[in-house]
Amino acid sequence: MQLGNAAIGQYLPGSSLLHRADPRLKITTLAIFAVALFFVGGIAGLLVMGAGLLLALALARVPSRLIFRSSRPVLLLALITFCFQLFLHGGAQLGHLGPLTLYRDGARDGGFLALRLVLLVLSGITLSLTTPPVMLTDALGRLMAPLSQVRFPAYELALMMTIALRFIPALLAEADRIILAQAARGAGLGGGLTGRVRALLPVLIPLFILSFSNADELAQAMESRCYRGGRGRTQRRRLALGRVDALFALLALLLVGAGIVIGRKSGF
Amino acid sequence: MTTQTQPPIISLRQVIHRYPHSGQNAALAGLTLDIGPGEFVAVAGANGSGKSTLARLLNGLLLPAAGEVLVDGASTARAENLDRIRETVGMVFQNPDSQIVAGSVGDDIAFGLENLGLPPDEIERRLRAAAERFGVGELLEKEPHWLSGGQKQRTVLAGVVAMAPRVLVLDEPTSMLDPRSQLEFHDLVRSLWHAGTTVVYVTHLMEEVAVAPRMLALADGALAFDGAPRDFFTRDDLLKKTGLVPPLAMRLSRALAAAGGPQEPALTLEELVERVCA
Repeated sequence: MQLGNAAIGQYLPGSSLLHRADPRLKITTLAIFAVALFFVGGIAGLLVMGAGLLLALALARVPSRLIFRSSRPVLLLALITFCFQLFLHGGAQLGHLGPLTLYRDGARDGGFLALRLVLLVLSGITLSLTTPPVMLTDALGRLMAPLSQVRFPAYELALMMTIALRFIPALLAEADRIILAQAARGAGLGGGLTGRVRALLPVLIPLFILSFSNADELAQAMESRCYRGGRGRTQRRRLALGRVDALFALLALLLVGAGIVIGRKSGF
Repeated sequence: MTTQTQPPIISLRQVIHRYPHSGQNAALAGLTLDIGPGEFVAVAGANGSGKSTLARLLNGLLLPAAGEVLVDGASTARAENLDRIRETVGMVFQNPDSQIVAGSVGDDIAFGLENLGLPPDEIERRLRAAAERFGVGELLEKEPHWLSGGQKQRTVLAGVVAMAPRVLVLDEPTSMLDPRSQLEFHDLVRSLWHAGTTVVYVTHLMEEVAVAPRMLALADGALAFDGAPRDFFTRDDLLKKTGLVPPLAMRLSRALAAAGGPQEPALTLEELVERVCA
């Protein structure tokens, strides 16, 4: 098992419009897109927005298998949602499947809800596939910066996210080492659920202790490099909105607008 | 042993340090010493002798229970001095994995510079210069977990040196590196010393101690020796007291002397070769 070499986040480097747009703008657009999904009145609108999203991912040269792999968990949830509506909705019947009755409105509402769920997750996946985690936390910190006026620890929160991301591979590598050390002394993974949980404890306890020790050292290293919170701190990256960002914002707004209008007018 | 006529950049006056819950056992028991600007001082001692405690006292990460630590005349006990002290004294610890804060090499080197409140242009200039100097210039966008141990420790060193500290305190910085990376890292530190940085180098490797102009040997939190490594490694009583062993070259030269070879002890391999081939 090589946990330490696992890729963190799903970022796929590229130079498309999606990649080059300002991460703050991308996060804001994602928020607008997600809210807009709840204002779209019909499946046709959602289909337009979904097509736009898939086109953007295709232009960003994101392989379709990667999109599918990333959204697989939500596809299952969407399928369950669809089935619930299809079989339990009530109203006009569409037909029968063994002992189960299929409802016409259930199919429509189920499809609508499932599609909305998939698009919601897909938009988040699009952001993480085209934005490095470092830029994401940096952008979040900047977007939250005005909140520091009301004593909200915006910078500290962004730094916490950065450190959490930074330490995931290190923790995985440590877990890897502990598992190997336990295995070398004859520890197995155990059979059944209870056995597995019991086998995890000897891994988790040293991992926790090690994490606390690492956190202590990290705090000392940060202090020795003059860290004193966000006070008086400047930032290496200078983000400025440009033409690329204007084009990105325009296309995103057009897509969201088209989705809402078509959704309302089509009546489907 | 301050060789310079300038006032010391670091002074310890009867420093005592106790860790919480350690009772009356002092990690450092009344240490007094001066380190002059531009000196290279190696600190050696067995586990638990107080080396790391001493290192952490030098930039105010730990505060003495009694006595005083002065950095460029400013006491670490005064909170208002700490920012200036930490700008003056940069620290590199043992494990690079628990020192890298940011998600990429470039951002990590920039971390300290951002804390200093420097403008973005200056941050970029300094981080690129430090990255090039320490051989990580090509890795600025890399995430830390893809780096080798040597690359990680050089990233840490670049991040500290970019802040232009006048004193560099290194606490066993090579103990987690492979032999080649150890040599490369030690050479980099020596190049910083040659460029004028004061270096306090805590190490378990006696080969690194041997090439330092001055060494401090600690035993049970007290200073057992302060002087030239050659004088230390030729005294069996001090070696026994501190639990240290001479570097390989000296052990070899002793074995050769016992077998009738050259009698004068050699501190380094170069010296040994010189004596044998003379």
